[in-house]
Amino acid sequence: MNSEILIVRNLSKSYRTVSAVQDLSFTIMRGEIFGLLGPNGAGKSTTLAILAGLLPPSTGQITLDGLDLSKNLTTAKARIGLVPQDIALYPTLSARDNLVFWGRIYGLRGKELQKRIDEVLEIVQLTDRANELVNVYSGGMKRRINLAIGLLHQPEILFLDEPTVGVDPQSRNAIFKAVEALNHAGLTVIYTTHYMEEAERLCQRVAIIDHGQIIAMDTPANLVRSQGLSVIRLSILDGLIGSVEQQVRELPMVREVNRQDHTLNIHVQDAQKTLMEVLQITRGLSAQVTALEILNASLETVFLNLTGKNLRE
Amino acid sequence: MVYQIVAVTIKEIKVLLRDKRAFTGLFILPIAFILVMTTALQGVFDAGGNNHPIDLLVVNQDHGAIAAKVVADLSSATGLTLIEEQDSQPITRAIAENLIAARTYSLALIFPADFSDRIINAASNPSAEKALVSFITDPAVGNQLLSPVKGLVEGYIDREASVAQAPIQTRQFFNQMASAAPDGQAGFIRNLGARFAAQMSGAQDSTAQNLGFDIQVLPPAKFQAVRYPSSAEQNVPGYMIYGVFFIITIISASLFREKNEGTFRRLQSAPISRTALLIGKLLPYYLLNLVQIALMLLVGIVVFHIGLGSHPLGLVPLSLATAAAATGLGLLVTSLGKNQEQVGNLSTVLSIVLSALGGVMVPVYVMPAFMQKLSLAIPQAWALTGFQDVIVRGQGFEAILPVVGVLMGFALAFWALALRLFRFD
Repeated sequence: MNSEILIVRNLSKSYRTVSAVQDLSFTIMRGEIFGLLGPNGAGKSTTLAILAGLLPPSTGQITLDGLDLSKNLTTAKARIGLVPQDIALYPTLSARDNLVFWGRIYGLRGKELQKRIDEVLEIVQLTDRANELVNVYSGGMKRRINLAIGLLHQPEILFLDEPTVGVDPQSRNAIFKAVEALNHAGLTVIYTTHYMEEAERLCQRVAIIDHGQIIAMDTPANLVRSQGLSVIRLSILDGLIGSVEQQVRELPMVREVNRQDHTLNIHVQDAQKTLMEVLQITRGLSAQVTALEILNASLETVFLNLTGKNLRE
Repeated sequence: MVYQIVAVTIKEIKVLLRDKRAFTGLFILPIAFILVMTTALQGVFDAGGNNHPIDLLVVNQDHGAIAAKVVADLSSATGLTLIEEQDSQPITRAIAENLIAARTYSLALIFPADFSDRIINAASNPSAEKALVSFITDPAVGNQLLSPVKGLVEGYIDREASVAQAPIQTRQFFNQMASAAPDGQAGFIRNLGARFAAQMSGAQDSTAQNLGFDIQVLPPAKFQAVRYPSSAEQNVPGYMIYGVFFIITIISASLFREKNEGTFRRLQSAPISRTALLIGKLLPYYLLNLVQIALMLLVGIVVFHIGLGSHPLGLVPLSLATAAAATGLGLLVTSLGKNQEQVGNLSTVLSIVLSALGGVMVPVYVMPAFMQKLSLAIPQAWALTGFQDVIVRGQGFEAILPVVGVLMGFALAFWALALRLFRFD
């Protein structure tokens, strides 16, 4: 991780009156796994589509390993691997036929093509199922072949757009292992997800996106340290939630309180210590608690602290 | 770029080979149409020919000789098979009506008992009641079958009636002259009339008579057909063109599948141009059209023994131009729709309606004038004309160039408009 491979400056994308991406600037280092985190509709996939050359930006500049993307799109595309969120395969062909086709599109041929197909099948652990039609695969196996296609031409940078949506634990684990192994071999990865645990496991740095803007960017550990308050999530049955909120706000360790219907998200430095005081308030007011949850400091709570809402909303 | 085009083409062919719906629509359906329609319509197209003569029940109740002579004339005519007996018994009117009601036969000709008497009476009394000849026919039988038989019967009756009436009218003429002549000459004139009439009667073996003319049917000099088209020669090119243009349904389904499954979008992240992608994508369908044409002509040749005209090489540019128009129309139809359902319905309706308007199912010349004009804007109509020019009319390369030019014009217009409107997302 010693040089910049991708530089993004003031990137914006608008559709008539809707602004999908607003003034994004960030730099990706070679050999890094960089996470783009955000809820559905935050602008992650649009950002990735622009970076992969699928969409032209409205404004801004992208430089891939010294190449201005707007002027060298075809050259740049050969160095990019895209694994889209959709399972973009030909279901009536076998996995091997799919790989042959995509390999040829990237200019691979002959023995080199066969060698690469065998290698990527090994990476996604589907060598023994390669000759089966894709339409008999499970969702997870399809996602693994989806990943394998993105790796065929040995890209310098790999864009993974929500690669584990809807997959079984076995396939999810296989994808994690593949990404980690590829990164150890030097591949740069941009990984979009709304699963915080994935970002915490895989990413060296993350950018949190909401409403098309980056609202925080750092290593997961630094973000949790600086922004990651624990959250006590408390649901109250009756009309006393306003009184509970008022008293909770006065507790010394409480940094912030968000209210969503009958639920209070109480952001605190130490959840264990504050919990007893919160419960004493509810008992004193005879408020009936219907649900109680403690979220320890994590990227999930970082997002909650920054936006006031859950990542999966 | 060529390598990528070939890669897309090979992939598309592999996908197509596993697409049973496409295979059915492009091959099974048109071949089934060719087999069924050609066989079913053989009677209509070839009716009256030596190979498929029209069966005509004949009920002769005439007490005189004229109806028998008409029947003798009809029996010597080509294209008719007269049936006068059933189980060695003469057919009666009741039997004929039963046979037609049972759909065993379609047509019966009835001569009344007084047929000869009335014709002979008419010779001397123009205002006498006419003989009434009847046709009994299944109401489902069209005029195309009835009219020629009716015309033939009328012609022979006219001839035999003239032959029977001529001596009577001659004798009457001389008798009238004799009445007006001086007494000494009246007998001579009557005798002269009787001798004329007797000589005419003696020479009235009408069936052996040389009338001094015959009829032949010829194509225009610039056509080189040695014979007129059979049912197969009409239907094989017709349904072949229907099958060729059915490709628009398959193309639109395939393009929308690529869009819906995200493969088009993913392909755009690869270093392949949109032009190469579209060429590679549509080339298999173009080739498939050519295979369709070859296969269906082969079915026509093997099953129905059709010929390919005097200049079969003319079929090559015609096939290339027809396939270009069909694939261009497929891309254009896809470009006009927003989703697969919309385009699926549009392409199915278009492939059937345009084929019908183009004369695939009903020949253009039997359509109303405005539909005939409309067919000039239908590529299927031009394609059908071109194939029939070569196969049926025996025309060569130069003669069909205008048709090839029009089809290429359609193709260019379709492709230009489609490429302008097509969206990859």
